[in-house]
Amino acid sequence: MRLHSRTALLAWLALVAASAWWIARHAVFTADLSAFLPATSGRLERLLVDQLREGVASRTMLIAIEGGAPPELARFSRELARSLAADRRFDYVTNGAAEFIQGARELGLKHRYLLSPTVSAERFSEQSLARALRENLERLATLEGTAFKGMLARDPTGELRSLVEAAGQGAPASRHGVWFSADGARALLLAQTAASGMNAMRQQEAADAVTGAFLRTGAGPEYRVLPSGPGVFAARTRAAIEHDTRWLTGVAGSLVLLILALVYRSPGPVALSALPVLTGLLVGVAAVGALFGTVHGITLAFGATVIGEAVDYPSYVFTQRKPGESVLDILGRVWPTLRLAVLTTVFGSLALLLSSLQGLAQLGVLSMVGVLAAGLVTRWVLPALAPGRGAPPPRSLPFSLVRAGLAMRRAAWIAWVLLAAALALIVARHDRIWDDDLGHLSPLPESARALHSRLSADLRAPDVGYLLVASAGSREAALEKSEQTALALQSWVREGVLEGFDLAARYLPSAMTQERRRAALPEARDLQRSLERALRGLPYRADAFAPFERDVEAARQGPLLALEDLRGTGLDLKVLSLLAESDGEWHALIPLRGVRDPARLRSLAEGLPAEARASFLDLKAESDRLIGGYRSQTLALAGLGALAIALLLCVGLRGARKALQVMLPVYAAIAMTVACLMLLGIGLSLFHLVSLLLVLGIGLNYSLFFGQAEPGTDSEQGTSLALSVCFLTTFAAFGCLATSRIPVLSAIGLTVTLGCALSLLNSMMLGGTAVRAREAR
Amino acid sequence: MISGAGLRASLLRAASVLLLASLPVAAQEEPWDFASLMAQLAQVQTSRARYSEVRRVAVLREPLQLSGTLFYERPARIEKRQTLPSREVISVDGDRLTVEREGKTREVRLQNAPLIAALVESLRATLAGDATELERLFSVRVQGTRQRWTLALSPREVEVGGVVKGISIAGSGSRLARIEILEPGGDGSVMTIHYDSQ
Repeated sequence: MRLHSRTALLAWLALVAASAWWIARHAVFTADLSAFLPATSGRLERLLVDQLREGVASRTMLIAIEGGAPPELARFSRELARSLAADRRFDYVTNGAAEFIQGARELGLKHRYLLSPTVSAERFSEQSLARALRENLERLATLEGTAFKGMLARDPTGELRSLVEAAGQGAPASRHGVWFSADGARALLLAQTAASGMNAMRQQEAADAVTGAFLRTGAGPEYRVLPSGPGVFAARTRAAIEHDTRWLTGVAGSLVLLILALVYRSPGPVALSALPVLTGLLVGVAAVGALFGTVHGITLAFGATVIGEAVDYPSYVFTQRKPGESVLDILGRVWPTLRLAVLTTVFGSLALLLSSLQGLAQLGVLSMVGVLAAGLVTRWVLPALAPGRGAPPPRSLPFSLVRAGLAMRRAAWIAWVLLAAALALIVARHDRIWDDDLGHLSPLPESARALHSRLSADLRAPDVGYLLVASAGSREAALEKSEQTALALQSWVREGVLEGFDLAARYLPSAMTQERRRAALPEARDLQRSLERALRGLPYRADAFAPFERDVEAARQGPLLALEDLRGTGLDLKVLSLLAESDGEWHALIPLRGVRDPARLRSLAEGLPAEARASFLDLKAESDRLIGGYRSQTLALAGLGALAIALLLCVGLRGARKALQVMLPVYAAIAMTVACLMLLGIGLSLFHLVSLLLVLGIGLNYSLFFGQAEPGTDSEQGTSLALSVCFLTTFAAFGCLATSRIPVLSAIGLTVTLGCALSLLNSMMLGGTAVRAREAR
Repeated sequence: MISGAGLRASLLRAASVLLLASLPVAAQEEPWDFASLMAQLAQVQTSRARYSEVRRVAVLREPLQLSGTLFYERPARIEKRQTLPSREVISVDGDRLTVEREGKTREVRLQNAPLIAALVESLRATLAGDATELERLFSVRVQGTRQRWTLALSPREVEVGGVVKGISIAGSGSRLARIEILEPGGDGSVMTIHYDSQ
């Protein structure tokens, strides 16, 4: 072993060890998808991202129990709710049972004069009191009298009743004291997870906790518990992808190994083939971790895809071995081209570093560092480890791709026609290329989404889609503003524009509103006088309403209701989830339910006066728009990357014409791939775009190597074999992914398989060749 | 409804009736229990009666005096027409309860209103002789003889128990004579039932 190869080996070992150590010690992996949401500058957009990430809707879990008669379902619902309430993975759980609303009810009773919207000075006048007392008398003689009587002495004006009625408007149907679907087939619970809805791992734990707690209730096998919600979806998506990835990776890996073993006829090169890509992945992940602190799961998945081309690097070397040659000898011939192949990918990824999206920037770092490391390992480490001159040469092919390519050149017009058709299609349908609806890439069956919307309707949960946001400089100001907005909303509810809404100020009115209500309460002496007069001629005991007088006086003298008072009732969490702060600005979120005409609501909201102004957010449309922005940024950066690649090739190949000849087949292949996907009715998403980046990397390698192969020389046979092996391994690996039922995986698989096949064909038909280069000379 | 429980109850009823029929006339000495009472009540197809009710309410100087008519028709229909002090018609059929008052009609599903359901069933399930339903909602205890029995009901559900401590129904044969409702705060009501024709 020569000195410099020993140095290389030591350096490599040190790098691998350092990366492994760093990853083990410091790297934080997160499954939080939000790194792939833009950190945009607009305040509403940031709020939106926060909402998607941490918001009420994202953490809400709807749980149904079905499979039996209502009394049993109700019993399991109670037991499940109790055990989830004690579980730290949940902030809050309720099934409508008294024990879960008891705290809120007591709070409502205690602070009814600050909470009730009907409190006014007029309500405590002699006339109003007399009217209320007469009505109560009649009510005592009715069926409902039994139920409401208990509160009569304390609350003759019915403030608590109006609070309960207001809360009841949005409440689900109930049977045996707990929430049920209207048809009684499902008992329903509502929970809020402690973890963000985008944290797939912890959402999985939460969903497992529900299943576990349900099993402990001792429900028989005929009963089923069905958790649903954005978090559950995130967890299930992750699980489905992991499952498919695992076994598809197994199949793909075996196929690749089989191909390599058949070609190399010895285990050494097969084993070494994995070295560059694994080193690249390790070093790349460590680099991302060191630069960004955390490594996102998606970066890892996409990154592994993008540096997949590094699997080909050893193939370009080992396949070119002539009898008696050492790896170092081969590299002497191949390295200039291989170096360019590595650098094109490095330059292409460079542009991604400029991305304002952390996920994309991470992807850029991972692929740049990873591919560079893989290239260096191929150049310096493989020669040190590879078998010496005695190793058997690889199997030779019975045909020559290079000659076939030259023959196909006569049919190059077909490629030109196809390219023209592809470009025409892309231009003609340029407005329909993209599909920014991430839902279409969801691996979840339609039935899961149908169940979710049924449960949402049963539970009268707010539509995940629509929000009004009242923003102001402080929490108080935001509450005040939202109270004004609510007044307008109430009239829209009456007009039928929407069914209902939720509001933080309903549970914690602004201090101003509370003060106004408190100020409306009469002084003890005045109240006593009005009450005495109102009681004349009525059959009540004279002292019957002393508790009422005491309560009014206590409220009049007492402090205002503060957020701390809500603790332990579940209402504090509700209020906090409906109030958000970002950059010193406070937002009162008003989730809307049963919005029939979003456009109408938007225009109504825009027409609100300044003191009640609230922005209308359509979360789905906004998130589609954000994804669209992400996609166009990726596209712009990919364009910049292409420019960097072009410059590199001009310098590396010493001529713009040669650079063009190398790039043309690949870009033509990308255009054709896009056209094929369009013809298949597939809208392009982010995942397709990332796959096309890989196609660009691999395709350029094909084109580069094809271009330098001279027919009739050793390089013909070597290049022919190299390209065959590289293509077959890529085709096998990504062909497996393409068969996945998971849209994300099949999108990546299909795009890469198609793109690589077209790149190879185009390189043969359209690419520059050594022959043509000589002729041109 | 033909459910297992309903069927079992019917069989039980039929068996009790057979048992009663096969016994000698010495009915006075026969053991009188919940099953026998239910079987007896289950034979009534329809009944109509007047009632007067005294409702004690803590905030009032004097108890409320209410009166009206009651009507029952097998299997699941009851109607309570209150004429004094104000008009109110409550009719229940199956799970559906409607209240007519001052020209306005309100509808309540019993399964969504546990308290009202308990109050309704204490009367209806008793009239129907529906042992299953009564035992589902209340723990039951029967005392006395066939000629002079009392049926004590205490609510099983905690939420109902918070408002109604117990219901005691007194009667003779297949007729109800008096329903007393006891509430935790000391309030309560006593309903006396008069049948027009013997």
